[in-house]
Amino acid sequence: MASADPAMPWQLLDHTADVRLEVEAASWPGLLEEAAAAFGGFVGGGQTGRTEARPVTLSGSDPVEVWVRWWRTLLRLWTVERVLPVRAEMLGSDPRVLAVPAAALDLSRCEDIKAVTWHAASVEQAAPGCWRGTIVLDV
Amino acid sequence: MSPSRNLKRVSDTLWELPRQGAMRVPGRVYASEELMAELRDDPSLDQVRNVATLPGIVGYSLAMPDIHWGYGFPIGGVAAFDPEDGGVISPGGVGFDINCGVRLLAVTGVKEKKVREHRGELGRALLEAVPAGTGRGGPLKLKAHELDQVGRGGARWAVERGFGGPEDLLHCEEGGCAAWADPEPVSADARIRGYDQLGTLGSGNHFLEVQAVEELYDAEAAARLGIDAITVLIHTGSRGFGHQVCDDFLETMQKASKAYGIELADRQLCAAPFLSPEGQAYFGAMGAAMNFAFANRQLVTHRVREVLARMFGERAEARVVYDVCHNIAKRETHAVGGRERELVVHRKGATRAFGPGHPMVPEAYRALGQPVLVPGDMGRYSYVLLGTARAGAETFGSCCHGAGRRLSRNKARAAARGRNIKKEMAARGVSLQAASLRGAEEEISDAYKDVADVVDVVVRAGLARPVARLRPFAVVKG
Repeated sequence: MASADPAMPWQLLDHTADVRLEVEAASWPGLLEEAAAAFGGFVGGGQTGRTEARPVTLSGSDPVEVWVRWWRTLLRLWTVERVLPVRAEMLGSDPRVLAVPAAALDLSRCEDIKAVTWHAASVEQAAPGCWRGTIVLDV
Repeated sequence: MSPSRNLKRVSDTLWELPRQGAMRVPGRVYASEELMAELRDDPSLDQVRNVATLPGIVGYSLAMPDIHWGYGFPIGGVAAFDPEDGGVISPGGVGFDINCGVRLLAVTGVKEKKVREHRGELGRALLEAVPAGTGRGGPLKLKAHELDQVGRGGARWAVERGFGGPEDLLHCEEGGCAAWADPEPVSADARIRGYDQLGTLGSGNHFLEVQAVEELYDAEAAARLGIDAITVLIHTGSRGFGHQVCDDFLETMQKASKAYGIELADRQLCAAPFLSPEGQAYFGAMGAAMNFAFANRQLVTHRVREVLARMFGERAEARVVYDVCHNIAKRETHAVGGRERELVVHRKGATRAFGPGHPMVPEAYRALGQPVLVPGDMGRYSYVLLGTARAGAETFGSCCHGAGRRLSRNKARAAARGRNIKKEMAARGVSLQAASLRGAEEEISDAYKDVADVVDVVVRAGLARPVARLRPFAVVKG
C-alpha cells in the first residue's frame, strides 16, 4: 500500500515484522506536517465529526528523538484519545510548536497502529530542499 | 559487512556469529541449511549481533529457527543478563505485546465429527463471543483499582471472579501470575488503553483456532497432557495495556541508556541495569502487563467454554493443557560455566522449554518436561512439544515460538491480491472468520515459514521433543 493520493509524499517500505514508512518534504517543519498526514492516511477510516486542533510542543536532544516523539504524539491521539490526526500546522515561527487537527472517526473502517518504534528511525536532509524521515510502526 | 560472510557452522542445526567489534559474546542461531539460506542476508542476523553488545550478557546472543527481523532484538531472540555483572533489562528485548502467548485447551465431551460439521457456526460464535480486530474492546470495563488488581493477580484475578477454575492456573507458566508485578509505575495512558480490552483477541497475528489432533508422536505423553481429539489454541497478549507500558519505558530507557553510558547499536535496544531504579520500575510494570495478558487469555478461555457449552451441551469441556509466554523477561536460575547464576532471561518471540524434573514445570507434567506450544500459520498445522534438559543447558531453557514470518505484511497483501482467501481456506477444510479482510490477507500461509521446518530444527537440535501435530478446522483472526 502506498499513499492513496499520489501527490502525498509518503510511501511504505518493506519490513518483515511490520510497517516501515518513509516521508519526504522540502523542510524540517514540512516533514513533521507530512508525517501527520501520513499517519492519518495510513490509519484511514471515515471521519464522523468535525476536526479539532490540539497544540503540541516538541522536544528532544537530537532530530531522531524529536522525530520519534512526534510520531508517539500522533499515536497517543489515536490510541488514547481515539481521534485521528489528519494534518499538522506550525503555530508561529517555532518549528517545535504545532497544531494537530484531529478528527473523530469510524473505528470499524480504520487500520491499526499499535506502537511507534525507535528501531531504524532516521531523519536526514538528503539534498537541499529535501528532508527524508523513516519510521517503523508496530501494526 | 553482511553477517553471512562471517557465519560459522557449528553443527547440522547450529550456526555461530563469532565475536567481533563491540560484541561481548558470540551469537548463535539454530537453523537448518535451508532456513539459513533464507536468512543469510537478513537484517535479523545483525540484530543477533547487536544484542550481543549489551552489558552483562551471558553465554551467547541466541536465536531460534523462527527468527525474523524485529525491532532492536530479532523476533525469535533469547538473551540472558547477569544483574551482578551490570546486566541490563530492555523493553525492546521483551517487545511491545508483553506476554503475548498461547494457551492450549483440550476439548472433551463432544465428538470431533460433530464439532467439525459445525465449524462455520462455531467460528462465527467464537468471533462474536471474543471481540477481535482493531482496537476492539469487550463488554468488561475495568475501573482503575480493578486494573491494579489484574496487574497484581493475573489469571488468578479472573478465576476469583468466576472466569474459570483454580485448576486452570496449575497449567500456566508462572501459575498465570508474575508475582513480582507492580502496577504502580504503569501510566494513565496504559490504563486508558487497557480498561476495556480484557477478554479480547486484538488484531495482527492473534487468533483462535479449533483444531483436530492430526498425528501423535508420543501417545503416552499426549495422554498425560490430556490431548485427545480436539483442541483450541488461543493466541493473544496484553493488548493496548502492554503496548503502552513498553512505549512508556522505551522513552524512560532512552534517557537511562545515556545516563548509564550504555552504547546502543539500535535505539530500540535501550536498556538500564536490571538493579537500577529504571530497571526495577520496568520489571514491575512489565510484570503487571504480563498479568494483564494472563487474565486476558483466562477470559478468552471462559468465553470459549461458554460457546462450546451453548453449541454442544454442558458435557463439552475445555481443560487448560498449558499457557506459555512469548514476550517476557524473567529472573531464572541457570547453570553457566559450572555454577548456578540468577539471570534475567529475555525471550522475544521465544518460548520457555524447561526439561523433565525442573521445579518450575507443573507437578502433573514434571516427569515429562514443560509443554512447548508452537503455532503454525492458519492454513497448516501447529505442534505440541516438550522441553528438554538440553534446552536448559544450551538456550537458557528456551525454544521456538512459531513459524516465523517470511513475507512483510505489505508483500503478503500483494501475494493475496486477486485471491479469495476465505474460499482457499474452505477448500482446505478450514472455516475462516476474520475481523478484517486485510488482516486475513496479511496472515496467509505464504507469509510464514513452514512451521514443520522450524520444529524439525529444534527437535534435531535436542531443544524439544515432539508430542502431537494439530490441524485447524475453524480459525478466528483479529
